[in-house]
Amino acid sequence: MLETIVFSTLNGILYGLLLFMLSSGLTLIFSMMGVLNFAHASFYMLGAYFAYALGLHVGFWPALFLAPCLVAVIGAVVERYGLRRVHASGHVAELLFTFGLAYVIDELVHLFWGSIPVSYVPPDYMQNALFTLFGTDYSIYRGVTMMIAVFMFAALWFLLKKTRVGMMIRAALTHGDMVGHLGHNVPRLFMGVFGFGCALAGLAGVIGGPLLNTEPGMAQTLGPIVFVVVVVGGMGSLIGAFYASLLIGLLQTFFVAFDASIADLLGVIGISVDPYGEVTGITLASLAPMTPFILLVLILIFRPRGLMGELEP
Amino acid sequence: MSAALSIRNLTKHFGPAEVIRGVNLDVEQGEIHAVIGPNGAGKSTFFNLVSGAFRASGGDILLHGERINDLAPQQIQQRGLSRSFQVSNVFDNLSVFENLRCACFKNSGAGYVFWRAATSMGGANRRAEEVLEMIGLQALRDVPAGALPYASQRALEIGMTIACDAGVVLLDEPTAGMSNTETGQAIELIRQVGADRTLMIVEHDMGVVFELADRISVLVYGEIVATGRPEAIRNDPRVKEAYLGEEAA
Amino acid sequence: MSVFRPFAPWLISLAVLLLLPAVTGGSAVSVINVIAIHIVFALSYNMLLGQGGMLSFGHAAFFGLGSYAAIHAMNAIGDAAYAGEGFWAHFPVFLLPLVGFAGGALVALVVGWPFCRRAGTAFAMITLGLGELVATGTQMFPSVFGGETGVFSNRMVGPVWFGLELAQPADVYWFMAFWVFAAVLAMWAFTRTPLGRMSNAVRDNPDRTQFIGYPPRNVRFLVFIASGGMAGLAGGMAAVNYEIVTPESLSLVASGLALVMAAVGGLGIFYGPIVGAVVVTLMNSLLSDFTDASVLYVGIVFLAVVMFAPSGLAGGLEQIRQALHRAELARKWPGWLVGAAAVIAWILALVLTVELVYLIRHGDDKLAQALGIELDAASPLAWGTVVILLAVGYGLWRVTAKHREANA
Repeated sequence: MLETIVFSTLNGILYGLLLFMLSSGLTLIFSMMGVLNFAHASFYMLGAYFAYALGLHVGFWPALFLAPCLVAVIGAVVERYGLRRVHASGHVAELLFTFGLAYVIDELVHLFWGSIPVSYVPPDYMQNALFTLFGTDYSIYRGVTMMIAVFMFAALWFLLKKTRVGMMIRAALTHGDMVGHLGHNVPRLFMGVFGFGCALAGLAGVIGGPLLNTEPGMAQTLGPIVFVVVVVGGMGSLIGAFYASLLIGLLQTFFVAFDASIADLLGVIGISVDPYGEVTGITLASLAPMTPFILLVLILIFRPRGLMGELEP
Repeated sequence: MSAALSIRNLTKHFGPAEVIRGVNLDVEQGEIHAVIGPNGAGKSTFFNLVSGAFRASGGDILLHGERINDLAPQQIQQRGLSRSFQVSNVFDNLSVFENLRCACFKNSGAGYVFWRAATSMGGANRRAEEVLEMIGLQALRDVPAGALPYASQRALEIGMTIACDAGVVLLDEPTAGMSNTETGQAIELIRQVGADRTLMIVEHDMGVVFELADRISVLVYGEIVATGRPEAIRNDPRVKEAYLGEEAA
Repeated sequence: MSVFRPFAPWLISLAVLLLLPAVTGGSAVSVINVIAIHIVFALSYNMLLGQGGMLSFGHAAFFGLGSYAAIHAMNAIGDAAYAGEGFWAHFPVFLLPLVGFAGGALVALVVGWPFCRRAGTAFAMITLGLGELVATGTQMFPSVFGGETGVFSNRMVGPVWFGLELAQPADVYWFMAFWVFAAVLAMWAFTRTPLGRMSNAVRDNPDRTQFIGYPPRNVRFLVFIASGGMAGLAGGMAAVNYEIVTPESLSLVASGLALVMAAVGGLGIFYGPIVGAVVVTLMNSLLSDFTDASVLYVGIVFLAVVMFAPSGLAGGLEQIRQALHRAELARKWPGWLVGAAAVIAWILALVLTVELVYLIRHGDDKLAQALGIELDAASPLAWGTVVILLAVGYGLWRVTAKHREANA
């Protein structure tokens, strides 16, 4: 039991940090530019696939660095020649564009790499145990990715709090239009932020690919969850995204680990029901994929502005 | 004293900033009452409070004696108070006539009807035609509102505000950005509108104000510093000070 | 004759519906039936987006749930007819789309109120969440949703209406023709009502509507219900057509399809989604026989429309119609024709590139095989052709750009 709790916590935090990597880029782009990048998870997928493909030629570690850069470049190009064009037509048009982009990227990945998952795995030595707890190994790779995620988080914090660019971004998080009025080169800033946000997504892909399978459906699986994180955290709030990411990461992981059914839970409080009934047989594990969306509905009903979002006037 | 609109000790703060700091004002039934004041005095906020867009922090807003502080904008509109906007707030993709007709739906009982054609709603159509004629835009009847020239948009704006037969009408800078000829036409329209209604107008153009107003109130830093007939206001030293600074007073 | 003018599109459509089976071959009927379903689905989507300004990513939830409602009703009809008694014994399969409508509308009624507080991006994300919630939730209730394989039924049960036993797809065509006509008529009529007009007003300026007596949330909620009902109606049509409903009909892919069809056709024009439904369905069903990248092509078309032709295909049709109406066609068509030729050149270049890439990655290419062409990805001729096509297209476009501008 303790073993399950410890490992679920570790895995849940890792998954949550992964979600935060994705949702932080999304939140940055949304706050700066007002556009919700529907294709964000597709850049995540590109990061994983690029790391896999590059890794075949230059090795695992160089690919780890190169892939997010490549994704950033693609993001910047997309912003410069695609998004900027559509920007004049309003938010709905932007959303339609990023939706189409996601669609096309997904299909291009299908075209290039086929429908079967690719074997994007870390080198053998990384799969050895970092430590062994209660008889189960926690691989070096997981430890390394946890470190990378924490480091990225710290770097992001440093960037936002301690640098000038970070100050601009923070200003833009609450007052996007004003930043332009203050004389900064907004188009270049937009391109940079979009590229940076996509790089974060790509980095998440580089890390997440080996953990969560690198296959053409990965964007469609993770995408909606990331949007839920952003809404639950409060649209535009980075801290909210952080809390929401960890919450969802931990909840989903724990649900999968504690495979209790509703009958079991009712049994704990003394109510006895048929354990094989359709409703009473529902297990937490089967609920796990739905967890983010259930959370979304609850937040919508009880706190529509999200965990850390602002009240509307 | 039958005040159509009565404001008592109205206050509004946004966080620590007190924008409206105790406004007292009576608008008499049937009069045209202008509210003037330097920029930043809080005139738009004031209108937003009265029309229900903002919630007051304190004080009372009484419409025909009934307190309307916590009502939603559509409820206030139902009780006979309607407002126009400083920046034209029309339905860009609908034609001029359709804009007016939409403004007439609620009062003519059309509600949320989805089983009858809009063209068959007799009351709404008739009223829309009347208003269209009053604001003089018959020639532009089928033009999408977003494509109208500026002055016509302002006229449509006023048209939509009076379409619902409200007895008390708030006009927010109706002649903003207009040329002299356009302003002249606007004045005529406003006079017509004010003939059988109570009007409160926020304006910057002093010509318009002194041409139309029965009484004027001066709003400075969230307070009314003077209320009275135009000549009295013109000569009031406090008003001069507020606009021109202490030396001129 | 001018009295008939407003009815002309309807009369023409009716004539098309009546004559279509005679004109097209028997094998086309299946695709046509699917097109009918998609027309209703895409139009119901546009009630939300094009007319109401609400971008939804979860529209398939209503389609799918309506579909499931209809198929369960179909089974109920079958059981009751077999037993010889009960309410469902007298309910004709012909009216099942109404069951679908009820299903879709009910779900929209139950979930809609909290959703309609905000429009724009927030609404889009919330509907995405709803769609995924429903899609992932289907696995938990296999008795309702049939697990991965879905729920199947038989449509040749119960009372027969209009002599349609619904055995062959050809019979089903008349069922589809009736319902697509009725649904389109209903949705068009909706746009002419006060609620339909206020929906447009809320789209254009939600802040203003409350000051003329209509809180935007109320209007959005009612439109949400109507749109959900119509999507459910399309779902009912699908249940009858396929005699099976799977969780796929609720998926994000299906929701995306509604959006793609409506946008490609044109959001701002009532019949836009009809055009979009026809084009996209044809592309999906016909192209997949000839190329493996058919889904990619649809996506590229969508992206191109969003970026370069936001008023969609119907927007283009309207331009032609306007030019005809104003007798300007004579001077405009040369520019348009050459522009179209440029676009065709670019399309050819794109197709060639995609197929070449496919050839490189996977060793063979369906399109080349279908056309009987020997494609050699290593040969400079292939890539040279791509470049030439791009250049030709660009040249044609530039040369006539001024002409088009002058005659705009």
